[in-house]
Amino acid sequence: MSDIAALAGDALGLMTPILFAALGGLLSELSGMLNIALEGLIGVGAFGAAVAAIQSGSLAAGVVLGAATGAFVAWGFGAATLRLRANGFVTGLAVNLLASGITVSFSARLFQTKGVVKVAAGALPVLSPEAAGQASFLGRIFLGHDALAYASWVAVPLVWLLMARTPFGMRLRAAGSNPRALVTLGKRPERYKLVAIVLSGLACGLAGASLSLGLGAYVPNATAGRGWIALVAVYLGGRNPAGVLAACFVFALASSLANYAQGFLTVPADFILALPYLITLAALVLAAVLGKLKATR
Amino acid sequence: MPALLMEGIRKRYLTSGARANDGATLEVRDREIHALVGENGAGKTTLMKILYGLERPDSGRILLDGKAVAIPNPAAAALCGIGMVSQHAEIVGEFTVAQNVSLCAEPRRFAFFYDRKAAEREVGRLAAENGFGLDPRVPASSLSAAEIQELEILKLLWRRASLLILDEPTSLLAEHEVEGLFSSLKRLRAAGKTIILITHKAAEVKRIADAVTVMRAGRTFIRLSAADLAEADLAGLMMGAHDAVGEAGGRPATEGTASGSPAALGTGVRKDSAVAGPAVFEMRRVTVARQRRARPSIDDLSLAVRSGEIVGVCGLAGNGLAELEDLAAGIGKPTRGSVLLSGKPLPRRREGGRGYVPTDRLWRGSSLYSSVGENLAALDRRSFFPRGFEDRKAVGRFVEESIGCYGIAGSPTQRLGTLSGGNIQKVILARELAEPKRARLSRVRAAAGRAGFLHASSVRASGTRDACVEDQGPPFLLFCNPVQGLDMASSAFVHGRLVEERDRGSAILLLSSNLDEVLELSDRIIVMHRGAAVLEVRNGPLVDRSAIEDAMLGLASPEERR
Amino acid sequence: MNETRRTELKGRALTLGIALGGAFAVTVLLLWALSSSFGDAFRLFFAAPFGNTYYLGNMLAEVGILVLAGLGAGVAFGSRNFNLGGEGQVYLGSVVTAATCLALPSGNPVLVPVLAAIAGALSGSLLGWLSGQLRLSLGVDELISSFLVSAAVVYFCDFVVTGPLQDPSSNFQATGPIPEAFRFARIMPPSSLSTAVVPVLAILVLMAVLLARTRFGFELSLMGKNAEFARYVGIDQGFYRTAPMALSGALYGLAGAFLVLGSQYRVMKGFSAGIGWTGIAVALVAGNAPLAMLPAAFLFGYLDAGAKAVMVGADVTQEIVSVVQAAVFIFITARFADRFLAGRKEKR
Repeated sequence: MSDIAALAGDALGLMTPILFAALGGLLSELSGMLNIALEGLIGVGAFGAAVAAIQSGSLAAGVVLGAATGAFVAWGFGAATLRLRANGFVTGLAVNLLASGITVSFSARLFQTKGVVKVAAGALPVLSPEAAGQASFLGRIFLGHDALAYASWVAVPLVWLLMARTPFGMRLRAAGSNPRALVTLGKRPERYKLVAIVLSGLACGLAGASLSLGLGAYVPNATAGRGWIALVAVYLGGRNPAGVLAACFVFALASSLANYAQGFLTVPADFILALPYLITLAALVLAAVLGKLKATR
Repeated sequence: MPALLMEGIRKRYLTSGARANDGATLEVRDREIHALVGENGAGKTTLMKILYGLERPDSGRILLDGKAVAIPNPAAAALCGIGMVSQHAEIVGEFTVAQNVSLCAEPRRFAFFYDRKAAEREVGRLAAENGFGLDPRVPASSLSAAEIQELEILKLLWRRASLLILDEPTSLLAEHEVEGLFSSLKRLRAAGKTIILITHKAAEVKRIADAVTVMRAGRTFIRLSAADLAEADLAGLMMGAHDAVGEAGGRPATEGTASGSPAALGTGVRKDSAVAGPAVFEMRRVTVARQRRARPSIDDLSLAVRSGEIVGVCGLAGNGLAELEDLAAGIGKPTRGSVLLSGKPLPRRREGGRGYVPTDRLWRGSSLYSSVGENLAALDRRSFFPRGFEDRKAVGRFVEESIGCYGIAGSPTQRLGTLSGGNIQKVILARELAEPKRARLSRVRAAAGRAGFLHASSVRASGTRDACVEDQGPPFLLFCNPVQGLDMASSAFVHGRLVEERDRGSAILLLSSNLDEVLELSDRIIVMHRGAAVLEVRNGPLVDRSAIEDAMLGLASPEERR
Repeated sequence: MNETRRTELKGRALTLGIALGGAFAVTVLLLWALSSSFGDAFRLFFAAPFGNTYYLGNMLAEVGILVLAGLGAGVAFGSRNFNLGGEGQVYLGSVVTAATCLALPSGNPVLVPVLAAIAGALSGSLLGWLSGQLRLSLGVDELISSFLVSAAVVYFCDFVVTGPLQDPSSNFQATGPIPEAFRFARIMPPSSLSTAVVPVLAILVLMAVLLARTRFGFELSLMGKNAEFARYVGIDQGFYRTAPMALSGALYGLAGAFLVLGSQYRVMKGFSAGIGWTGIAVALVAGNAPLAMLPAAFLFGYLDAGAKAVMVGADVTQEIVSVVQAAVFIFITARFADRFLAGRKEKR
């Protein structure tokens, strides 16, 4: 029983970056913009957050700058794709490439290392860790997470509210569903798509911040495929916030189980690293077999 | 003072170089239902797009109530009280009626949230005021064509438009729905609105319009009060006494096309009755069911097309013509029944033996990014790539011949997307009507052996029809809306080829929503309504056109006509 | 050559010019921002690849590999199949090739390398085919599945290289060297340029002929330009969802094979990283046209060589290549040249 609580609690903790990124991907998807750059955006967010935290000594600054970095790079990606009419698939790949290149290059320049960089200010504070250790079943699951984790949970209903109950959300969905409807009404769908992309970058930036600041260190390639997992979560979740939350939790739970299993199974480290990708692939195939997959392109 | 005056509007599209509007002038009075008529391509839609700010004119001016205005975009047009309903409704299927109507002009609660209740209430009120039976809460995806029309008009009224532009509003409506629309328009006029109707249907104009402006080739030809006109004159004014100046190099395939005929379609192609042979193409009790809908899209349909005859199938949009096209092309599969070609089940993948000229000629019928030559060679790959490798000489010969025989205004390496609609259709015809090359090559060689040396270039240079005429097409041809959007000369050419192929023994199935075309060309006519064949008649001078029209509307007997 | 073709080529040339100029500008910017000595970095980056036979030879060797990778990417993208699994396909190809050679150390010196190369190609082909088949039978987007499979395969190859195939006598995480008899000879020692460039060029010509002159190439091209039309003229849709992916994977696998047989003579952990993505970059610049892959591969080989030189000499990391590549991606695909192209119609 306590193991289940531990597993669930772990999963919730692991879910944070994936959930943020998936919510961002959802916004992008609803506005009709293909966004395969989630991975890269998380990466730059993680790096930006670490740099800010290290230089300023403040974790809050780290969070803010992580989000800002993600939003900024996403803006570039969006502007190139929409204004310059570039191919969204190619620019998305470019962002992923860019992220891996820039982060390592600047890390070497700023911190003289291509490897792990510790954040002097430590990791994000966690809600009553002591209580989490002994508390009730629910307490074990829901306590002991950092601020960004809780923020990501709050983000889910916020995103729903934004998309379903505001004029902005309606127009954004129209931009994705039938952009010509907006054109004949005198609005430009590209504006809404760009905002959606920037918001997705912001969300990915927060995801990255939760990775590096949650650990208390910037680790190269910490994203480890989470951006792609988030993308799949958007499709599996049926393109609505609640479904996306469920899909993200399932993926996080799988990771958590894998970590748990590593405790008493000797599995080569490489296999553990490959696991998220295999799980995601399995989920995709399973969903397709069950006929739940909507055509993505 | 006219409510609207557009003067000297000129517009040239850079990409195609066509002069869409060439000094057009339009005058509309206040509280008037004004019909803007003309053939396809006359410039009506462009002129209205300029009025609505979707396009900007190269020169000319627009005056509203005597004051000059600039309309750089639809937002500005809306500010001037102008609204436009385009031919293809732009609605968001997953939104409700209220959401669609109020989109981008949404009522708000606490300045930030969408006030759904207020929207539904107000939209409901607006609909009731105008006699529309729309329920603001239903999703737009469940609406019929006429209801979508009402939604689009509501969108304009929501934004307080006083000048409404409707582009081909009746194109998808059944007869009783047209009546409903016209009543609504009269109500709107009484309420003080001014309405411009774009249409190419001369018959409807007389019923509803207070005034008419005829456009031709980008110019406004004449402005009339409709009460002064009988319908036939209007059609004549639209088509003009002369043929449109067609593309360079067009060589009509049959006589009778050079002189514009007064027939409704004007192609003037007519032929003697055919003597038909055995059935080549058959559909036996075919039914195509639809998911989640009770009524199948094709309902127990049987038809046969024999060699040497043209069977024309007509129907209004949404009654199964598109599904029939898919079935006959081998794309769709019947839920019940069978589709047979020469007695055997129709193969799903095409490999010669049948030609298909699709309705969607740009995406199904061509590869716009490929060259003319590649498009021509695309079907008969077995002949052009013997043993897997390209036979360049054979391809080159075929391409040259096709360009010459069909009068295609384009070069073999030119990208197809740069050709005009008529030329693209010619490329499609040249490809689809050519039998497998192997057989033709042997016949050409035999003919060459008989007549002496026959070189491909001599075909073009001599321009003799013999080399072109000796090609017989495949045994079965499927033509779908073949002259939609084409100018007079190209239409005449296409019809001429169609009849030629029939005369040489091909079995031709013609699917068209254009009754005039079907009446002109078919030997037998089948009418589709709600997926079923409701009427089948032999065509001839005594054919009852009104019976056919009734059948298209699903009216079984004259008594049911209103 | 008629008017529209001329404007098209002009547009293409302009786009390429902007891409090259942009790449140059970004490179200079990065060098300035990151190097300890800009002057040294600049000189090293742009001149060092030609400075001595070591750098030059290595660059040319890499160009050969990139040509194959570009062909692989191009054959997929040219038919609207998105193969993002190049990384795994190259790596697996190299591992399988090395394993084959190591398993048959006393085999025929001609037969075994050929067998090994084929095995390497087949392994990559299998991965590509898998994604294509998943798309065909289950509707799983091959863009995502090819990437996911590749990412997992990379870790699997890491495991194999550092585990079962690890060379016990070496300090590096690498397999043992393949027997001398199987190696392609060095042309410009001590660089890694070998006679493997000969079969690479032969494959290049073969692919050019395949795509331009055969029925397969014709149908492939039609699938890329308008799949709906291709369907209605009777082209087998299923075949062209799997065959191009398989061929693409095979070419990537071959790249890995020649990396082992020609350049490195062994597999080192992570030594092929980035080739998959660079292959896409090469294909982009070459417009998926086989013969254009050669100059495109040269461009990226040059960039990579410059980055390596700078890494050694002026303290800038090699990863700037990724950034420059990303810039090229964006510049190539952005439509600055749109005004020059007449009569363009777009769907989706």
